[in-house]
Amino acid sequence: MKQPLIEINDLHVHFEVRDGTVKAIQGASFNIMRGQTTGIIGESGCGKSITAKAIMQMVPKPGKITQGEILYHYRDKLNPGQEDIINITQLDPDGPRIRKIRGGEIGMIFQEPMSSLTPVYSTGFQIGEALKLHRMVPKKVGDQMDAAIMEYRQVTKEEAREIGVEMLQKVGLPKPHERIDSYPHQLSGGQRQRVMVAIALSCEPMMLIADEPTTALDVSIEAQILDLMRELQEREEMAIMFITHNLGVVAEMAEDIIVMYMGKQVERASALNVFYDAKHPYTKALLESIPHVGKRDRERLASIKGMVPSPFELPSGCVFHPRCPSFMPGKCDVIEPSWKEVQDDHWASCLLYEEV
Amino acid sequence: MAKILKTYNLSENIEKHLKPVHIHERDVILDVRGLTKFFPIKKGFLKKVVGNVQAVDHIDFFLREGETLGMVGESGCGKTTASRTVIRLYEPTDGAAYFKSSVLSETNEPVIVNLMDLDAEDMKKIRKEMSMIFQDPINSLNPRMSVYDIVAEPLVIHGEVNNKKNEQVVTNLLERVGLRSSHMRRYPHEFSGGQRQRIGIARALALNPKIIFCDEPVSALDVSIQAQTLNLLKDLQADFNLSYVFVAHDLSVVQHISDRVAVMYVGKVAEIADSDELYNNPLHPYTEALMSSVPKPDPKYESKRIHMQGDVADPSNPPSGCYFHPRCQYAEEICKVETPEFRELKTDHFVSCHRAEELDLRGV
Repeated sequence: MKQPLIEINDLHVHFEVRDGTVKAIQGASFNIMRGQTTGIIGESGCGKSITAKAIMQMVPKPGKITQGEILYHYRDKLNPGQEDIINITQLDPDGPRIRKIRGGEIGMIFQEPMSSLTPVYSTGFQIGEALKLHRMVPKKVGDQMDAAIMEYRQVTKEEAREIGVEMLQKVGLPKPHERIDSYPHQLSGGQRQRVMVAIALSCEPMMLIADEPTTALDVSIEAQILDLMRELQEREEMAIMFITHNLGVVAEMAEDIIVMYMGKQVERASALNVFYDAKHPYTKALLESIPHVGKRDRERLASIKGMVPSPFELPSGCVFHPRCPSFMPGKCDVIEPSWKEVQDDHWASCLLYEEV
Repeated sequence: MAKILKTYNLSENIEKHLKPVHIHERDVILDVRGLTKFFPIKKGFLKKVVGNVQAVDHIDFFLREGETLGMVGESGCGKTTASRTVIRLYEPTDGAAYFKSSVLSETNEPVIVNLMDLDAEDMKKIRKEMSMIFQDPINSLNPRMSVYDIVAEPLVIHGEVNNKKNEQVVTNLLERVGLRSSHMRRYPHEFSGGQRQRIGIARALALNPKIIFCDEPVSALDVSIQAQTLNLLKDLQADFNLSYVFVAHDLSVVQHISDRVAVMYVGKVAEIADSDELYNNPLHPYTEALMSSVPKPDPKYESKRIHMQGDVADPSNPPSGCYFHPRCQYAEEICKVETPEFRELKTDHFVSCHRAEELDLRGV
């Protein structure tokens, strides 16, 4: 039943800078299933956003995918029976194929609604831009034609505007007919983020990458955007890769959760298992360090001691060992843990679950 | 310089809403009455005032010694403006803020002063007793000043120019907030976000303040660093008997750190109560809706969200009656016409809603 849409195998992304090499991602491997939400959590600098950018073949310079592959199971919307497997890492980052994927087959919502929209173009133009590039409508020759010989053309300006209004209505923007002519500065933060969602969803993508889509928003608007994404997912059977550091949001949205630390995935399991039966000490510490609304204890929060290490001087052995509460001297600082299935469909990389 | 301070008592003939109410209680340190800040909207060649953005509109609250008052609300509701107006970073349009000050009296006996009446000289003195922690740890520290200069700057401004003495003070402060004092000569860019926020906290503590206004102090930090910073703020409060006004939009953080919480909506205080009471038995429909939208870190939790219709009201053109009525699911005729009175419904539980008595609202 569950079919993979994106398969990431042993992905490595390195940045060669003056001070050395930053290993932003070191061996990430996971699948994103069709119609499912995969949450990626971790602190800033752990490689969550770079993973998303690697899927779109948009790793910023001087970053490079040095190893691994990203397999994209492509199905034509018009001919869903057939499946092609495309290795995204092999594609030319400026080529026509990846440009069809970006925005068209995989949509993305960026972190900052304030700076991701061009201030000089109206909302309608910015939605239309994506539509004109990616959305195809059937040519009308007579009334009905056989699907096999159906021809497609790109949408016209007028149609793009119509679809734009419809999308704005779907994302719950009041007065979409007026809003389509507004410029980003005339919209509030929540409205801008909804425009971003509208752009990302206007081309009916197979997958949506949401990179901290609600971090800058108020809870009430955050709730609206999350509900909207879930609703659209049910309707369109879209996969969502949800990147966030807000554990509350990820608990609500995701079916599968991947926890990352310093460019490595440390744990992967279903949301229930991560929240109720976390295996990796980092995941446990992360869960304990957040205050719970409604459950108030006057006590101090359990915080993770120390700080995220410098990316140039990664600790030996397990990267988490200097901050780990269950640090085993002589083991954790020497041996690098391997990625193991510790329970049924519950993966972690920690020496506590290995015989050494 | 014997300066006669304007002290207030209840018999004095001042407007009703400006009278101090709580300041005479023993442990109350700050009593804000009817505080108002309107930002004028100017248009045209002559810069005629065509309207006002009613950022803060006649709000009342008080703060006890050693307690934390959380302020929550959606962006643009005036929570930051309110805290900045109290320390007169903005000049108030109207209102009073009574404060028990020890620096202005000669005997060290606290006197009650109205912050809004003080001149610049007295205000400067009183700022020793109030400081601020800002949201953005990157932009609130001058990149061209070393950590020592940043933390010692308040001391220098208030006339402490003995470098040796200041260095000792800064050393103590840095160690107190968990930074190494040997890093005193470094510059802000050499520190991580959490460390920079600690520098900001050290600076706020430099003059032994009584009240610290924290404006979203942890919202730019990662979860694990956020926990460290919240713990630090709690420890400092216990050590120095500080009072915090804690402005934030993360409801779970506010609940964790606050003793009492004020919920603001479009420049008005909707509700103030003890934080457990507020989260469990809200009396205002806006509080209820806000609480229901907080995502819970529990995949088993089934959300019973209340969808608020439409957007936050425009503070330059607020709706009639209760500002929340267009989005309120319990709104009735009276809500559209009459502005609700801000009243104490239970002990220490203030609310401004016409139907607060009859509604049975759900907490978290």
